[in-house]
Amino acid sequence: MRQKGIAMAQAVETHEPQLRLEGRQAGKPGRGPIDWLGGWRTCIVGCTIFLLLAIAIRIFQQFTAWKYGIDASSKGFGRTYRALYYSEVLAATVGTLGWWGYLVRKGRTLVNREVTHDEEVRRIAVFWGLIGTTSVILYIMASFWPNQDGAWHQTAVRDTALTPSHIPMFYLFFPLGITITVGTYLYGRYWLPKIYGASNGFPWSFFLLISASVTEVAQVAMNEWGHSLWITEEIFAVPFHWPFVWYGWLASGIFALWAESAIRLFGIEKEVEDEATDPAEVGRFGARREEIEAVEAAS
Amino acid sequence: MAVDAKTLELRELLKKKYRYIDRKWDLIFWVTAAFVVGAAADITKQLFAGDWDFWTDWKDRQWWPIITPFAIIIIGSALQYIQWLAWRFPTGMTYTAVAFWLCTLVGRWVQWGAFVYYPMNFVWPATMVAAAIFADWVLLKTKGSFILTSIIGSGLFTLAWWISNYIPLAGLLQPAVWMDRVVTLADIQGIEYVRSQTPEYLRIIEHGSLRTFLGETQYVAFAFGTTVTVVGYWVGQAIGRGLAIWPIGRFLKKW
Amino acid sequence: MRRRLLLALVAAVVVTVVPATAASAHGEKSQEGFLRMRTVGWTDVTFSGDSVQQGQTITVTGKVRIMDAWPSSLAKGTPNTCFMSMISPGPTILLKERTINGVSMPTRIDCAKGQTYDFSMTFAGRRVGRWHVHPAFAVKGAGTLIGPGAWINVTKNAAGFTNQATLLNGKTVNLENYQLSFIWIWLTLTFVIGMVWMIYWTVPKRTIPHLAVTSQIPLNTDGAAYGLVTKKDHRYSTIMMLATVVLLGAGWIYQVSSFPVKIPQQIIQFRPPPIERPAPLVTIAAGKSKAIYDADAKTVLLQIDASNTGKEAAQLTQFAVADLTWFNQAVPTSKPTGPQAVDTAYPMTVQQDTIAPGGSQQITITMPSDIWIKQERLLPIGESQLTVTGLLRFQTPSGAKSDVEVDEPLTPTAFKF
Repeated sequence: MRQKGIAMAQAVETHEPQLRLEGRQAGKPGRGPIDWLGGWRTCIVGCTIFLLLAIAIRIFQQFTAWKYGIDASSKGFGRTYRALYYSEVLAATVGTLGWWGYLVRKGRTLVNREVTHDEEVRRIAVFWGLIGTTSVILYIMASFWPNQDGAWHQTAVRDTALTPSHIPMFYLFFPLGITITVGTYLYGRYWLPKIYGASNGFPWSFFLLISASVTEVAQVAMNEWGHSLWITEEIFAVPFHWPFVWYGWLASGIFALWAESAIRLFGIEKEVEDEATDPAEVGRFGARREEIEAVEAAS
Repeated sequence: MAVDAKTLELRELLKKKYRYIDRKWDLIFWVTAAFVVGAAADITKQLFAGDWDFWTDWKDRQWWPIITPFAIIIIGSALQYIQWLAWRFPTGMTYTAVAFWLCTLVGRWVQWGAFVYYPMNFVWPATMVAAAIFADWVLLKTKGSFILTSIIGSGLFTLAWWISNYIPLAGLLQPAVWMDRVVTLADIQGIEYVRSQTPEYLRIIEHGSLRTFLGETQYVAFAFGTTVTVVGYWVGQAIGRGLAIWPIGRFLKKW
Repeated sequence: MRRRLLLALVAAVVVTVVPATAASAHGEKSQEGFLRMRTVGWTDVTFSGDSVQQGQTITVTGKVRIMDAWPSSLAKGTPNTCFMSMISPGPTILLKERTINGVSMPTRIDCAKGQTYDFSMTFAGRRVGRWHVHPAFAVKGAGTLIGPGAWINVTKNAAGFTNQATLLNGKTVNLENYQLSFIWIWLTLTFVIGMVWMIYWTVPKRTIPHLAVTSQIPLNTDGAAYGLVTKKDHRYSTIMMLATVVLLGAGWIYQVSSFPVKIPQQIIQFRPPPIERPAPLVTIAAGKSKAIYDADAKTVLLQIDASNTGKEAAQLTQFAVADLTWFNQAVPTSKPTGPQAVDTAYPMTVQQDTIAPGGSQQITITMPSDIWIKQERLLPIGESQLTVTGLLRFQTPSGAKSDVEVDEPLTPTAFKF
């Protein structure tokens, strides 16, 4: 028994460096897979960051929009809103490519590794955090800013495609919709291969959700073209605006993400139940039986 | 009555305790989904019926009761399908309504009020919560019959929606005097609180026709509004079934 | 992700502390110059003051003309429904009175190309601050055309600010907040009922675990046999539904008893009574006039062949273009008092500015191009129609004024600025 214990500990040690790449704080109390500061931390942080970003821009607008934002040909506009436009496009592009790049690079190193149930559950919680962040970004792009867009454009002259309400909406949060939906897919593809691994194909759920974000951005171009050409009156409920709604409906694929990951969660619960019938096979980190046997055979 | 093994098994399954699936999953789901659900309902309403919702002088008795219930029932119907299918909860319409209420109120207050300074008694948003309760109640009572809910539920929805939004509007429909004309208080709000880019001729409201059925335009609008809302209900069902549920576990093999 | 956020926030903070000039226009300069000139012409726009307390009023008067040169690409070339309003950064002002050709104008009017309308709009200060406001003329199918703007100071009214409206029964109400508390209370009550429903279903019952059971039973069953929906659920749901009925009933009774008389929103569309205007004193010969942009001399010239059909000499005093009015520096009294006057630093010079009665003459107007191009973005270089359109005002010694429309092709000597 003592030898087996040492062998198991060694097996644990061998695996520990790789496991530490994932949920490196998972061992700490309160940071477990389903603890608020553990698996759920991504949800809290992700949702909060984007809400705060939207609020920060909104506060900026409160002090500047009516002063500098109504005449795009003025110097004041250039120093405020045009500058904001350039900085957010740059920051969003750099951030998006950086994050996607990180997900792909890191994901490739770990997609084929087996993980413990704890770890897989933690990843599903992180995944739900990313879906939650997607939901918040979709709210900011489809409700928070459009309310302002109606208020602004029915009041101020629409002089260019860069208005104080368009800049955070069309040119920051709409592209962030693409950032988060594609990023969430990359996370699912590499970190949750049992659900979204590439060998299954491309999930329809993500196809619809990502399509929603991409077509919304494409619709921005059509919207500005139309407004520059023949839609000169500021009425909101016109057929010309309806593609925004139709493309938005595609985001219903988000529900399938919750369902698919929940189904896997039930699958993990079943595996836990099945494994629990043979307690000796289960190590401290739930190391797989084959690995323990291999280590024992080697020693 | 003897209970079969399957029934017993499912009863036990309902009460089962899991190692990982605790109440936090439920809380996270309900709270995070509220953002996208409320926003989907809000953008659908804004771009299908927004102008009628933004201003009291657009909330008439001919167009508003037809266009708005149609627009707002769509996402609620999709959620009814999802939440009944997944959990047997008759909550989809009400969940959408409360999430939508929060989204639209934040939007109206933070943007139309605090940013552009329209008085909130001019730009208050319509509510769909009371109407939603009836639609969910019908779904429950019909044990999940979407066909009956689409007809009876939509009918009650439209009527309850009209009543629950006419009540706050009523005071603003009192006749008042502006210069030498008799108009409503809502009209005066529209004239006085300048909307620089929304000329009044854009207003699509009742302006009279040769067929007004002894002044019963309102009831004709209800009847048609209900029909149109039934259509909206099925648009929502298509979204729920086709875009939310159908993709589950399905993958594109070639693209 | 955090780095991006930081970058964006830093940029936002940086731009807020950088001082910037306040915008004095409302974006009208983004509209194409030729359209601004060819659509409506504004003359004699005058504001009765530039500072007002909250609740007190200023009146803007003037004339607006739907030009004969109205483009065929807007409103299908035939304006027929129009509206007037004030452009303001939100409802910083309240429109208290509006007249068109002397009669009150609550909503929209019938209009036509070639018509000139006398307007007046009386507005009250509402939001404290310094605001740039303009009269505006909107044409259905085309959009809103912006008139000359002026800075208005709205100062705080120490006695407080209300916006009184008078009901037909004589009662007055404050439109700033009339019925507001009731509306909030009502909306909140409906929200509370919805939350009660949601809490009932989602707090005592679990959510995600239900999936294990529901995935095994048909859609159109409520799973009562398995405990998904119980008799208690039916009972309480019906109670909540009935509570909603009671709430709606109570609200209905409240509105019927509080507001027994209600009417639908009103649309009042009419043709403004025409104003008899004397026939124009001066006519412009068709096809003989032209506009030139001299890129080297940095001037815009308008050469017109004009005939005086009146009995007195007619002197050219003003040239109104879109929302700007140039005036003849040789006639200082011709400077408009309103905000549309071009600054005297940018003089308009007129050669042969007076036409003898019954005579014809070529008149040349010269204006600095800087105003046209840099300041007002009015010269249509690079647009799809190279024309200069406006209203020339001629005045006789006895004080009679006559406006005549001019619409001439523009020829630049070079496409440089």
